[in-house]
Amino acid sequence: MRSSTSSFKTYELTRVVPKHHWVLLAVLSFAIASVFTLGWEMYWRSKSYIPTLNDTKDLWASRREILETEYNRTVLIGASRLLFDFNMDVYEKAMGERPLQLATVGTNPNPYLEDLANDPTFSGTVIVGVVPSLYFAPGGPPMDSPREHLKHYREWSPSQRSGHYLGMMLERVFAFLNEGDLTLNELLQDLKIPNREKVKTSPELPPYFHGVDEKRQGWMWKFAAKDEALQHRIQQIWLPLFSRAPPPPAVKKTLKANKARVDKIRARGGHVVYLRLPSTGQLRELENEKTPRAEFWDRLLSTTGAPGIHFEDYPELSEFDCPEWSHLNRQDATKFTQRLMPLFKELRDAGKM
Amino acid sequence: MLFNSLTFIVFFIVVLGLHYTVSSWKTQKTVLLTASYIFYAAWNPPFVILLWISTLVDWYVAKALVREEGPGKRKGLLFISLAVNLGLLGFFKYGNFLLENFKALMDLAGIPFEAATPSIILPVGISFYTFQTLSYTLDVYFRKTDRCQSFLDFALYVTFFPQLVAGPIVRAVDFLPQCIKPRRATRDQFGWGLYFMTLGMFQKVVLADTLLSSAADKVFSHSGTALHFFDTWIGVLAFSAQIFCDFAGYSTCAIGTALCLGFILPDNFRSPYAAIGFSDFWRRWHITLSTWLRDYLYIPLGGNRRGTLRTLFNLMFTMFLGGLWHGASWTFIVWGLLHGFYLVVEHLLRQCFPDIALVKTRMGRFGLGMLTFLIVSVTWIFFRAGDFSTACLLFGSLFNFNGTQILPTLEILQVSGVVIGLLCSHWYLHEKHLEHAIQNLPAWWVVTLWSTMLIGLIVTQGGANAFIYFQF
Repeated sequence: MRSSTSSFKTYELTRVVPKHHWVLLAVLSFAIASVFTLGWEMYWRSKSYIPTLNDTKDLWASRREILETEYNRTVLIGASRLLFDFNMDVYEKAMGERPLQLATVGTNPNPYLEDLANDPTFSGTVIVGVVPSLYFAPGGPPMDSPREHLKHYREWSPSQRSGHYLGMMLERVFAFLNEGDLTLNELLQDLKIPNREKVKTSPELPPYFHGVDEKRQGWMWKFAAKDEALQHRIQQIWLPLFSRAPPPPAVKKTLKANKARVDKIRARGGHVVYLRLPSTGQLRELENEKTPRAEFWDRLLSTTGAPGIHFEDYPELSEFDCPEWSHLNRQDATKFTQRLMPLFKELRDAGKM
Repeated sequence: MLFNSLTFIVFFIVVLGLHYTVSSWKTQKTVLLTASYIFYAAWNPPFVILLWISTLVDWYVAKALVREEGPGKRKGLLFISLAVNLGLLGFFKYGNFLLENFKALMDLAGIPFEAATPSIILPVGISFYTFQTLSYTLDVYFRKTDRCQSFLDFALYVTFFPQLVAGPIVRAVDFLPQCIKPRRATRDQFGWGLYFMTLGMFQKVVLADTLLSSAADKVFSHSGTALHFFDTWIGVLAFSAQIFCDFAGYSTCAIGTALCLGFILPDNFRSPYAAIGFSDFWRRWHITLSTWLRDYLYIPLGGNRRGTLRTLFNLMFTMFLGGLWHGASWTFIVWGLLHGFYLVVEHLLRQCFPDIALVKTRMGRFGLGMLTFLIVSVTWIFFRAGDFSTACLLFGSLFNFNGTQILPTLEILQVSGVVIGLLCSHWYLHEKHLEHAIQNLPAWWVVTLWSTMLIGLIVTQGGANAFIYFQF
């Protein structure tokens, strides 16, 4: 702020254009950038990347908004296991209805369940994927992610909506448009510059190793299902992420909240079914140690009174091997869903879904 | 609609196509006005009504002000404009803040008061277009400008999409004359406009969002234990650079977009981090807001014509409102008051020591410039911290040698690189305009810079993050 009383409006409104042939410079610059883009695309394709949609908040919002008009749809909420391991085509063929996939990676789906319970029009079935260490997490990133998705959906603007559809058109063409792995930020992370000795950073998250389609059918990429080095790397990332047991007060709170939410949905004629999907190897051992079934899964079912399917209760569901201990490959996901269908049909016949 | 979105790219191509294919100037302006409403409605359609209210009220008030000679009635008309514009701003921006503070006051007085907390959504850019329309009515009231004769021109002035939501705040005397004759960018203006747009998006997407935001977010969202001084300083400097790249990036895009359409908008930034002193800083930072505050608040209050004490009060009061303009929170008010205090101290120092030799040497000026930058950066803590406890934690951490270390080496390198680069560029452009610097570069160098920025944008794949100043 000038401390003078000089006159009204002192800036000059002129815009000098530097003396260059600007159209020629623009053409050259855009041509160089286009050539680079082509090379960049070819490079990543040579590294086995293929065009795939990004699993964005916009994509999630585009699925969530369907419930605004189709109140009694079946909805899938959970974390990446439900996103990868559940084949919606199989479900549609067997049950006559395509579910809406609202599960998101690394998520505690309780905010999604709360959203559906509080939606006065919703009267469908909710299939809840339960990964106990995430499902009973008191806060942090597993809770932030669903809250951000819900906020984005509630504030989804016409501009974001059109940007989403334009973005999908490009993502179907260019492999390098991979937000999970190939942005500048992600590429810089790959430099693995060592940190100072006392730095406390968040635990490393696994690399992006799944694709989704427009209806959010997820699947593990082929090379992730085959590449043992990548699998080993992801396995070593899971162990620290799953090494904490949810604190008892958070468990109690989650159980109480689930009971209330299930009751609300049931009161409107809807249903809730809990589903425990496979995990294997050291990760399964760690889960059994930190989140033993009796204290988490069994209590969840007994508190809420909702039906549940635990993969370990059925021999046909427990014979799968997860390549990186936490998710099924694409073929196994299809088989697994096929084997789930008789169980779902039983529940439907019993009026439980 | 955000500049850094695919929707905007398609929208702008369509607008350009229509702008340059329609032959009638009136139709061109109608196209631009319609496009501006679409641009705004793409964020939240109902809020276009607020733009219409603001436009209609100021149009009719200005019309009546020209006809009316009686001072009382003229004041009444001005009051209507102020009440409607500031009333809307007050309701949407300060409603919750006032209610919270009223409740706190009642609690303090021991009077039980419970109020429902209304969920008020802040219409994007309301502070910007409110100040813009107000400036027109005030200019007509003070007879500094004639009334606009065309409603279409006036509506376009209020709504012109390149600067609608985050400035630069344009004066009617600058914009309305541009509506008289048909505007078409020359070939070179168009290319230079595209260069500006690329530069603005690079600042926003690559520098602010990708290289700086993570460190700033980590440090400003830290709670509990005190941070290590090094991490705190890096986080503070990261935000200092981020807020510049974000806001200047928007202004640069706005100027470039307007230029492609043949319109000229004023500069909003002029190497502010090379400012020597705080009055110099405010001549370089958000220029269109600081000149607005100077012309419509500081000078009407008496400026520096009514003695030292009154001058100091005027400075503090102007900066207090400047802080409040940025956000409905006490932290913004403290940020504004601190800048007012710095201006007061500088004013007094200039009076007491008008002729210090050190200040005139190159090293002296550089030292003062760096001191200004550091104080401005530290003061941003109040601006960025959501509450006083976070601000206090960070101030306490600035000289804490045993605190928690949270920043990875990569982010430290990113922030250091950008901040050093930013300071070098600001000092290089301290006394000259970007246009002159670019003019002196050989063409191949310009192509290298331009294509590097484009490649940076492509590799970054910038998600459409909103600009920080949209919330103001």
